[in-house]
Amino acid sequence: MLIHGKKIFFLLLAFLVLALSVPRPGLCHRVNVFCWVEGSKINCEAKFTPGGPVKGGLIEVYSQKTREKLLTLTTDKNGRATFEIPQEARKNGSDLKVVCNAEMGHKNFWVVKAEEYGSVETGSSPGGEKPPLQQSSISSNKELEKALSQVLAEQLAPIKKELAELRQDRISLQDILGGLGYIFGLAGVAFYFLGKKERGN
Amino acid sequence: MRKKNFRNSLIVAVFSLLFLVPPQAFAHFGAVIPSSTMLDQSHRQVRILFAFTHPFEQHAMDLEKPEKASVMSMETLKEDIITSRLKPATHLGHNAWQIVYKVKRPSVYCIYMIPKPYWEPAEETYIKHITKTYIAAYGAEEGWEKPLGLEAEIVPFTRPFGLYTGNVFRGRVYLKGKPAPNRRVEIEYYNKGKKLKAATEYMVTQVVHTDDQGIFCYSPPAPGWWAFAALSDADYTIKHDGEPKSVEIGAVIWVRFLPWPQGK
Repeated sequence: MLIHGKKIFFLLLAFLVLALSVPRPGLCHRVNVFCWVEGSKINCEAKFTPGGPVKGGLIEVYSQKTREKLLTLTTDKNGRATFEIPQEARKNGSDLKVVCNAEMGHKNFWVVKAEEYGSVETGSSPGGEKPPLQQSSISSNKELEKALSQVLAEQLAPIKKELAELRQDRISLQDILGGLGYIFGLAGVAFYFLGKKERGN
Repeated sequence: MRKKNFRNSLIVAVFSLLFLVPPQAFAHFGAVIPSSTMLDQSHRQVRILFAFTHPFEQHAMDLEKPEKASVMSMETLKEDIITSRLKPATHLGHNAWQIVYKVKRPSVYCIYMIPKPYWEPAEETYIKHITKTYIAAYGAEEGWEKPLGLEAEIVPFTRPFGLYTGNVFRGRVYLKGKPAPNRRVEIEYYNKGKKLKAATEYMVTQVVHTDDQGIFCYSPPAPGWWAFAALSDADYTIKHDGEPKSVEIGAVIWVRFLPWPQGK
């Protein structure tokens, strides 16, 4: 009986030590995911709050339309992960739900709306995959041209992004809602007067 | 038209007289009020009002275009100076400024303004209220405890967003980078729509003092926006009509308190 009790005690102790030794984020230790579109890619950033980046966190990308899992990635040491916008999402214009799963069931997500990436031109991906630029190899004009255009593409990436954002801004959801609001408002006023007239008759 | 102008002037004159009598009765507050303090995926921009006001009495003064208005990320301490992007607005019939600001990245942001000194004839003094408020975007919540290094500022000890009514709000007053002890801190509720009436004139402005380390605390009794203004006399003067006049330096912070959620 005594031995049994001792055994349980040690087992409990072992559990306690284990539980305490694992970096155990409390409830106030949240995970945050943030994504932004850059060219044909989506960048994700996962962070603990408070705390630093989520290293080696599991990132799962789901189609909001089909609920299908499209991609699985892991965050790097800066808590970042990048992926190409999946073709199937582009085709059916689905929002993408990016779920980050850090250790101990800490989970959060960010939704990248279709309109956020949809209006961005596909094709050359600025800042994306690029063959390593070797200066020593620039010998012919052609190569120089190639290198130059690559540098240009890199430099222009933020401007392109801004332009894309500007294009998106032209008609935002708010504008549409605002417009609808006006329509309803004016219609309401019209109906009020109509109703008044009818009652008067 | 002229008649209307005359009537308006008369009203202003009568009001001015009212102001003249007890100069302490109405506390001035620089104001920086965003439409939201916590942004999420579906709320990615804020409308920010910059004004100069008596928050409880709901009277305002004209606010000249601020010397500087800025949005600083408390994570990176990089700022986005928005002075030139401010649009004229009206606040309680007086000149104010506003901007619709898009928040691109997760961070805690401090929105602040350094106004041009305001000449207050009733008090024969210039008033300069360096005013700030905080918003938190997309889950980020770190960095709000850092001082900005302003001429005068209240550095929060209590996280300045996501607060419940009745929480104790603590802050430390800094003047020129040093904690300011024994300083008067005036506190007012933003009485939007002038729905509330104070029982006596004492009830308009609440007053606490900072301790020997420049720290004060206050617990607001009602949900809404609360303004805290720590007041100091500047060690310089500004000339008005050729005569040197004193300057009241205010470190102002606006903090929003939300009601405790209702159970189902």
